[in-house]
Amino acid sequence: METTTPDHVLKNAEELRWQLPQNLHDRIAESIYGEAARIAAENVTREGQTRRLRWQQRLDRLLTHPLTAFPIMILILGAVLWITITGANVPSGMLANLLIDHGHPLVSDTLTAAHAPEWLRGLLADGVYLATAWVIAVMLPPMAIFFPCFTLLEDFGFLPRVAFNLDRIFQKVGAHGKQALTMTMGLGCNAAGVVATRIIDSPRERLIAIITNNFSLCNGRWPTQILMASIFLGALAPKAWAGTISALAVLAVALLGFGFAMLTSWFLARTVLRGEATSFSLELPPYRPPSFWKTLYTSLIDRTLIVLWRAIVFAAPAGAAIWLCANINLGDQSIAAWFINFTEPLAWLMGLTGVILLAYVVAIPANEIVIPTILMLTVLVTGAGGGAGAGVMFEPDSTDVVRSILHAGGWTTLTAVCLMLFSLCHNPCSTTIYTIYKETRSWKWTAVSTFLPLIIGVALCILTAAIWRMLA
Amino acid sequence: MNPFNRASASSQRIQLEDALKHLLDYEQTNRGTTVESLAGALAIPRPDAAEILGRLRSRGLAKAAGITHHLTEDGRIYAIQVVRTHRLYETWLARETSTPAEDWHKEAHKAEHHIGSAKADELANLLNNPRFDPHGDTIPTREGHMPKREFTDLASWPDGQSARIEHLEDEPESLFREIQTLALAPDTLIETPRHLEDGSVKALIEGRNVLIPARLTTLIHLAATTEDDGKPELRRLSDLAIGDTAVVHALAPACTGNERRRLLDLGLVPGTRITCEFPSPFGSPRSYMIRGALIALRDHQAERILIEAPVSQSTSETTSAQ
Amino acid sequence: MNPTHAPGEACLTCPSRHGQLEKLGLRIDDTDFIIALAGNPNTGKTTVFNALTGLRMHTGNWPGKTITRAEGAFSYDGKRFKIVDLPGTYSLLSASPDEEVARTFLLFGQPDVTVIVADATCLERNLNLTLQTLQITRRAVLCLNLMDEAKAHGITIDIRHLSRELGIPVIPCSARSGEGIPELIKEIHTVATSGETPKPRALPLEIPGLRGALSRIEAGLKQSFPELPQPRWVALRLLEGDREIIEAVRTGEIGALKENHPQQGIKSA
Repeated sequence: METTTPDHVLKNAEELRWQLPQNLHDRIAESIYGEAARIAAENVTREGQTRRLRWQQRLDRLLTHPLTAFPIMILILGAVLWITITGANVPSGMLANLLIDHGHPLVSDTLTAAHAPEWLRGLLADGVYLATAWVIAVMLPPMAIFFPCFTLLEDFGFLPRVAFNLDRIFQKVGAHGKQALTMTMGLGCNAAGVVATRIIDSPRERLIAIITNNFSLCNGRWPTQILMASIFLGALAPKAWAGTISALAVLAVALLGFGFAMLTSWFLARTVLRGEATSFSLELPPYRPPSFWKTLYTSLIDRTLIVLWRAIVFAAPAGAAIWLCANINLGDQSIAAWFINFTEPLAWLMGLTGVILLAYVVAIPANEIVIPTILMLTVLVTGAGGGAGAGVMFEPDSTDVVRSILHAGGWTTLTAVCLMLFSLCHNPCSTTIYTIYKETRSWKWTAVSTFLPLIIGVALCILTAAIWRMLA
Repeated sequence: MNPFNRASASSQRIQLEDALKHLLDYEQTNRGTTVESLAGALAIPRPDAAEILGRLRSRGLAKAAGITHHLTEDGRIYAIQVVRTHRLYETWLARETSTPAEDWHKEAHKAEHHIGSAKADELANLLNNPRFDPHGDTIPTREGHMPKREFTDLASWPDGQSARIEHLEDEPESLFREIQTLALAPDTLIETPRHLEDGSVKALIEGRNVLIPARLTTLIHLAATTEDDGKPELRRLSDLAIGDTAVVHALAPACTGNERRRLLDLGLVPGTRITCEFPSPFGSPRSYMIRGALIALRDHQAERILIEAPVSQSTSETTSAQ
Repeated sequence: MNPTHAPGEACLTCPSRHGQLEKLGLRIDDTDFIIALAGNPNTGKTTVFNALTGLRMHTGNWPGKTITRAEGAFSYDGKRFKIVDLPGTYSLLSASPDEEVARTFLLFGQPDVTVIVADATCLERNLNLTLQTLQITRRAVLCLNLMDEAKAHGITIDIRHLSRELGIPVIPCSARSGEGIPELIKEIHTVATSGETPKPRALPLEIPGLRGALSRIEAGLKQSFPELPQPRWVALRLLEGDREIIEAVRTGEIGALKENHPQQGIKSA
């Protein structure tokens, strides 16, 4: 026998392939499944209908029934938001009391006692410390409630049913059915949502999913929504209804985000990313009762604290940057004041303020620090709330503190509504932008994903403000 | 070189390559290429066709024998390479992109002149070296081996004899689109075909009665069925009523590439018991119990899964008994 | 399993019962053995991974939750084990991009033990992947996860018979409560430290012409790469035109599979 080289083997295989049935792959798959079925049949015994199975089937019918599916989905999301909003209020107030009312003077006094120069005291106490403290006070309570709720739903097996119910809409707009799953991932973190689009095979549909993922409110933006809704919209209603109205407002913004995602997908699928929808199959796993305390513990420790840590990491330098912006003068104005005055006309058109626009520039690294940045800038630049240098006087309830600062900054209900809309539609955070580049390896698509929502957001705010002012 | 010359140089190359393909096509059907046949195939005036043949001769790609022209060895290698690129590209479009079927040929025709042989080999690797393109044509191997196949078209197929589609002609485009809307693909089973007076053919295809217009019958090439075909009473999974159970017969031939692999991986292989459980609020997708797992499929996919009535209870239990 | 022992996380870290076990979390350097965690999507691979390493990777009840490879480690009886949590796949045959991570690692990553995590509530579809994995490696343990769910669904599985049929150890467990994890660790240790490498399990492939073609290619492969542990599987992949395998044969990389594989005896010494 002649000696066989690898090339020989390959050539041999190439020739032999033509003698095999065209459906070779099908038949191999069939044989293996046949063997698996045989082994399973010999080793597994199963009682017919168990109570567990009947219970699951009944729940599935209820969660996917044309009449009940959508009300239940909206009710569940609404309930999670309501629990978060009403539950976060009190701990937020306590944290603000502790960290800002008592902590800030303490840090400030300690630095003074240590004979730190005034600029250093300002930078550390009014900049770094205050920004970090605000992130914790404003962000921690809603996150500590929202994430465990979400994780419980996830562990239970609810998310695939949501994707199942919504799939027809995704079909109609020409997007992939699994985009529903990546969008729900985006509700936690857009960067994670973008990475999750790897479950979509077709490059075209994957790009659509990546570009539209930003319309899922991420955890950095939920607190902004919740805070704005409870301070400005909930306050319009009688006290008993405040929580419900706030929850409904945030729900409306989240649904609007879904609408925008669908609209953008539809637009992309008919213009630059044309093509037919590819197939997908979705496994609907059995419902598994989540282990409540364990879920609570892990999502609190891991998810919440990790996100909080990220916020703090970004907040501390941002705090320093804000303080420097507010205290370094260009001519007779600070950099911050200069930027705020310069952008004020555009901000007015959008129903916002120059402070908000500056905050969004500072907060490009992380959406989590938008609200703290706005608060600090308002305090430092406009001198609202008694002025940072003089030691800040705050009431014990954090939303009241925030409210008084924002009212002093000239905010109205319109400002809050436009901020909620702009928070939904603006450029993704820098982490997400970087992730999009890593996943697409294309500057072009990264730029589209970055600027498309921003343009939509600016247009949306201008439109809303114009209509509002016309009606008012 | 100015841009116009470059453009005309590239269009010259395209014409040469198209002419080579025509020569190869005629060689395979044992015909000799003439100036007339080439002018017809490329839709160009006769003098242009004569000039192209002259150029092929001067480059040693074709030789004349009387009024007919034939490929030289070099010409054949070149022509097969172009054909290989075209078919690989079509296969790639069909399997990995969501390009509509009627655009496959057009896109591939553009691409075949720009993709070098190295790039074509890369494409073949990416696709795990496919043997057939989406129309049922054999894809030449990288060594230039191209098995020949004999076809009979539907127009001349005897009544009542079931057949399997071997190959579909993809030109003209408008007619190919019609074939697509009938969901015909290579390997589709055509049962009990009957020629009507106007030349159209009525047949049972995947559980549905289909009327194939006369203008399509010459584009559909058939082969006799092998013995393991001819299963009775095929239906599509999308026609299965909620709560009913059936057995998978096979995946329809129109289901290819990634989609087919995924469905097989999920256990949708012949003999699998499948029960339709419940629909989504909008009707599609619906959920199916497949080998112990609940799996949602869009109707568009379920249409491509052929089912038959479940056999007796005892056999079905061994296929999905867990 | 120890029926008198109450299931729970605490038992795993309890020093009196499992003195030799230490969860190393992310400390994955200098490990003695590499363990791959493979399985269908949504079978609780990540939960098993967390139970073994003490890490808390995020889990969720939907398929495709884990998309990238996670790594962690534990030490048992003085040996350090590195665990690689592979993304879930339904099959290893299709060479689609998402299953490539898993397949490439099983083949070229040369894990010392492959733990196949299967969902006990639908064993049949999990056996599909199990049988395919056994074509690549027999140094495997089948971890029948979600036994608590199976019980709630009235499903019983003949563990011993299944183990005999597959030719690998089968460990029932409920990773969420930690039940069965100590047994799994012990079995991983046993397979990792045993020197022998059993032959891959044959698949019944009754396809016209395939058997002959497989034998011819297999014979050629055995001549070129006498040490190749799974010539039949490679032959099948060649006949299917698998680009990755063709490339590995062409470059000879496939022949390095055995040579580079550290001898178990030397390694554990």
